Amino acid sequence: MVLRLVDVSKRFGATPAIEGVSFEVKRGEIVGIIGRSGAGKSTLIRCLNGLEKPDSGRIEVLGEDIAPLGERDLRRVRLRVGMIFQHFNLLSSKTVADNVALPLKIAGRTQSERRDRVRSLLWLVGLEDKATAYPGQLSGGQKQRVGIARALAADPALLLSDEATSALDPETTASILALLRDINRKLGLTIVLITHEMSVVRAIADRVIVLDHGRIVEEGEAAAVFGRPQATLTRRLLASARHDAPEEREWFASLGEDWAPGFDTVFRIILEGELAERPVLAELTSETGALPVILRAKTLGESCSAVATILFSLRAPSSEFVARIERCLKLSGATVEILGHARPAV
Amino acid sequence: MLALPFDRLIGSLGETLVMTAVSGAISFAVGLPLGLVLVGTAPGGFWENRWVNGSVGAIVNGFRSLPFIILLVAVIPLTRIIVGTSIGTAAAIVPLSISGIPYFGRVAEVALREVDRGLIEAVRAMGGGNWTIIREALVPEALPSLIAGFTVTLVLLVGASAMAGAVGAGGLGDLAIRYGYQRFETSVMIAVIVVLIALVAFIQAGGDRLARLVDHR
Repeated sequence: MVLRLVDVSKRFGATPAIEGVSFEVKRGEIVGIIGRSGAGKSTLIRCLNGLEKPDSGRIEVLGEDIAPLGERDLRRVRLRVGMIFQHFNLLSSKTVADNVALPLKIAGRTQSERRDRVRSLLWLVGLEDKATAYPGQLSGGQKQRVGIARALAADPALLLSDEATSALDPETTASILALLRDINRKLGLTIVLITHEMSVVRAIADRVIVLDHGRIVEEGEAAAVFGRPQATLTRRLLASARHDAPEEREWFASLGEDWAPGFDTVFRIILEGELAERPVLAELTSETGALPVILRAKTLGESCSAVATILFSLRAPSSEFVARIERCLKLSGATVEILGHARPAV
Repeated sequence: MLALPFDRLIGSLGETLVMTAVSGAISFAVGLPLGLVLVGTAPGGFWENRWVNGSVGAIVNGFRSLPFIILLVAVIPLTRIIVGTSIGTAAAIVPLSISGIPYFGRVAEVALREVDRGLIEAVRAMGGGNWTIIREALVPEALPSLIAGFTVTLVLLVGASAMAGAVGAGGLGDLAIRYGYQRFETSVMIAVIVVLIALVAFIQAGGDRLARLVDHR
């Protein structure tokens, strides 16, 4: 067991960040922790290497409870736990090689040991020709590769990934995730990653933990969670992940922000629970006379825990009418998003 | 008529350079740790200590609120203890340093505070202690701003050293007052102004160049 959390809680002032979180991570596993912003993911992952101290509970890293440890002992633990960050956090004043060598320097390795290790790490992440470059000269994807090499430098037993792909474009995200997968297989490295993107978890995780308001709402093997999601939040995250497909994102981006006469307006509504079983669009038509055209619709789960996502367009006679539609849908209880306006393709 | 002021001009320039360079070096050597203390003891810092932060901040502000000409005379007893005399170039270095240290301390504080907290966290996450954070992240990352701030401090010291004539320290300012102003030798005044402008331009250009050189962002 690389990691074991027992009933971990942490609050900031009166607001609880995480409450009663317990889970285990086995050696060689990739565990994805997903949740919306403010769900407590960041606090949780920062507890795993002692950057944040829990108020109560046990956090066993490689069998040792790190919750009561002081800064000096934590430093010893942190040498065994690598971390990569959303904004890479590379030192701009050091070359790529010196950035990667820093954990080794902290661990007290000799200069020649450091040089050899840095060379093989840069080769591992495919940046052997960038050793003397500065981070400022690299692309986002390359920076994260340096971050990964640095995190692996001291040969950690556990790698923590804090939204490591959230600042990258979809293609680069895919290549970074492939690299992490590859390292996991080659080195048997255990990885715990937090993200708000379902696609990241889907691409890489063996096991999924869904966090909401600081509590675990769902946990299980990735295939099981994606196949039969139990919690409403999981369904919603899965539903929105579907719209994050690159080709759809491109289409959304092409929509204009301003309404003009004769334009079609594209809406996305999310209906949860009982609302998903009501004829919301028919009610909209009878109330406002609007004639929505359904572009895409998807329902996950059934009855009281169903989540339906509907994408539709309609031609409004005025911008006030668009606002009226939005008001009317919100009044019925739906989550409404106006994705944009476009001239009809005909 | 020109020969004498020219010798004087070179001599005065030398005195100004010595005063600026020595007090500048002392300001940097003491001001940088002062800046680190101010940043480190601030709320959320690695040595968080409200009491130390408040008192050091108050002392720095106290010295910074004194006009240099007053400081120059007020620290005469201290100067006598340190240098052995209260007049001359060496004696002027004491008040110049006392004025430069808190100034550069604040400048360094601002530069160090601008360093991305994510970098400090990254070094902590890889097992680094406070000294590692200072040595590997804080100071190197703030270096371009520290150099820019030090350049401003040096220019300030050139200006302040002009008043050091009041304690017989010589320098360009003293030359301009005694020859250019009191003896109505306009040519000396103009020569001093030209040399001062050139000196400041030289310091600024050198500082800018060095700051660019170490900036890899």
